[in-house]
Amino acid sequence: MERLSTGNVRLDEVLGGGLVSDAITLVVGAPGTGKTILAEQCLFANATAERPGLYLSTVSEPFGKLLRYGQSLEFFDTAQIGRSVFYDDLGEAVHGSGLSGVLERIKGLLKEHAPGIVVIDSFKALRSFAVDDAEFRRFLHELAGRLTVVAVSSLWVGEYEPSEATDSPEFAVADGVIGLEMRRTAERSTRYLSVRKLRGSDFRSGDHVYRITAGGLVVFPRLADVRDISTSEAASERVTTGIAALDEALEDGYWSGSTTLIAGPSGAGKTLMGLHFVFAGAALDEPGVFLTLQESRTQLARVIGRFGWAFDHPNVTIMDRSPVDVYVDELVYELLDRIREVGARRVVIDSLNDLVVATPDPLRLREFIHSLVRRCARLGISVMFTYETMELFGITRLSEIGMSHIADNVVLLQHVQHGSEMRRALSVLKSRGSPHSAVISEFKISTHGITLGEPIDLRTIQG
Amino acid sequence: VLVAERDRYAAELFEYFLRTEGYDVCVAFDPASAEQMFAERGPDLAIVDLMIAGVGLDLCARLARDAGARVLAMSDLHLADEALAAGASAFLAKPIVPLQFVSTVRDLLGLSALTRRSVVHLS
Repeated sequence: MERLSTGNVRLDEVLGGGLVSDAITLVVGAPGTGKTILAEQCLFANATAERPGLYLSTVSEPFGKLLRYGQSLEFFDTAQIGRSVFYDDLGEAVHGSGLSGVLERIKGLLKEHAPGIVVIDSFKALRSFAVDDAEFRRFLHELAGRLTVVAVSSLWVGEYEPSEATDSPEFAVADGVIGLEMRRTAERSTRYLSVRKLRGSDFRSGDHVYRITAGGLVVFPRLADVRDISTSEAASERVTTGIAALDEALEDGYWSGSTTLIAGPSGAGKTLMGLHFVFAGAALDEPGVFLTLQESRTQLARVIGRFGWAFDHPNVTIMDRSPVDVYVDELVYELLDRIREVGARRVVIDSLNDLVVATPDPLRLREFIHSLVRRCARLGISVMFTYETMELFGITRLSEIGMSHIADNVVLLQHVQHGSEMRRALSVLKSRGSPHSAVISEFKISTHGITLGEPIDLRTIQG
Repeated sequence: VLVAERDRYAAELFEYFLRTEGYDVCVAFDPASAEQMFAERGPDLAIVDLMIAGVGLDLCARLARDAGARVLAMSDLHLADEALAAGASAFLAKPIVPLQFVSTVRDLLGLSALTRRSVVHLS
């Protein structure tokens, strides 16, 4: 089946390659969800002088306003107007002669322009001009018939409610239905796109987050990778943790492509463990990406400098994002893009807790993390997450999102009280696919970073 | 040009595109009228919808083989091989792209239509 690009590569991915050509697609959603922008985006992406695009407004939006707003969009090329893109108004036809007037007008426009793509916006508004249901169904039948004769792709845009999908005849006539909606969770509003119907074609199911930009709709398809080969089987080499004694405890570091969770309470040294990991790789000419949601760039630069590393190391890419403005879908795509750009071999995400806070839906977060980890594992990229535990002492619970199952390695950092003194202890709880020392060791943080010390007995110290 | 087409909307558009190009067009909606029109008008080209009354391939064969017509077959189904085997000179998949449709007709008629048009013009 031939496909028509929506003008957005990732949306085309969701649709299994694009809209189905020469078909009728309904674009539905509440006002303000970006239906018109999506339709115009498709129109401009496909219009050519030989097979022009035709945009037909009806009665919901004044024609002039549509053009004025359209102009502010990057893809709205005014040079195409009147050459390969034609805007027209069905308002007069429908007010003057009802639905038969609309049909006559469309018939004339199809003959006059022989378009390759036609948008009718708002399609729903036409329904109120039908005397009864039967007339509207007759109108639909004839319009669909006329649009089927020639190779023309049509987008019917409408402010349909979800409940209307079952009883509106447009939904039965349409070959595809794309839904746009905005959902509010606490103080956040997130936009979701979903494909509700795509006749004769596979598509990526579920809700896909999107943003409206001057370049049109930018979609972040839901990442839902299936589990493939296990990392421990795929890996063939070890990667240093950046801490000599820890490498030893792990029998020569982590497997490349593995996922490591560094868990511990606030101030235990998790960020520092992450920095050790990234800078040790950088020294071996393995590029790394350090994503911080914990600290600002300046704060992190200070920490990095304090331990003698270079903030502007060519093999280290720092990404800092504010946790209050993070959308996990977008962030994961941004991270994957950056990993690809710099050819990263090591990735640190500081911290997992910030991602949990930023994602109201725990299932979605798991899906994204799982997919990110799988994609990196396939490429032999090692990923490290830091995770802050709730308890300061005597940690009893690790992760509410099942991260310890996804992780190949789990390293626990703890505070221990020794009289009036506070000490730090490190233990490897899990290291998939390799033996590891079960010893709990004391560690110290100096200007040289983390140094592992002697084994420590928590009972004698804390008791 | 004879258009033998089951779909009235399609027939209306084909007729429009062909007339715009300057061709004389007659339209039939069933095989019997198509054959009758063919006999009466002797068109240079017959455009046959292979789904017409479910017997488009037969009509295509009768017009092409028996009556020696040049036939352009069209269908929503991929019936190119069957159409050519039945004697059609060309096949177009539906839905049609107007420019492609017109240029196919032009190619099929080639010089014969040009000559006829110029003869009509001269007379």
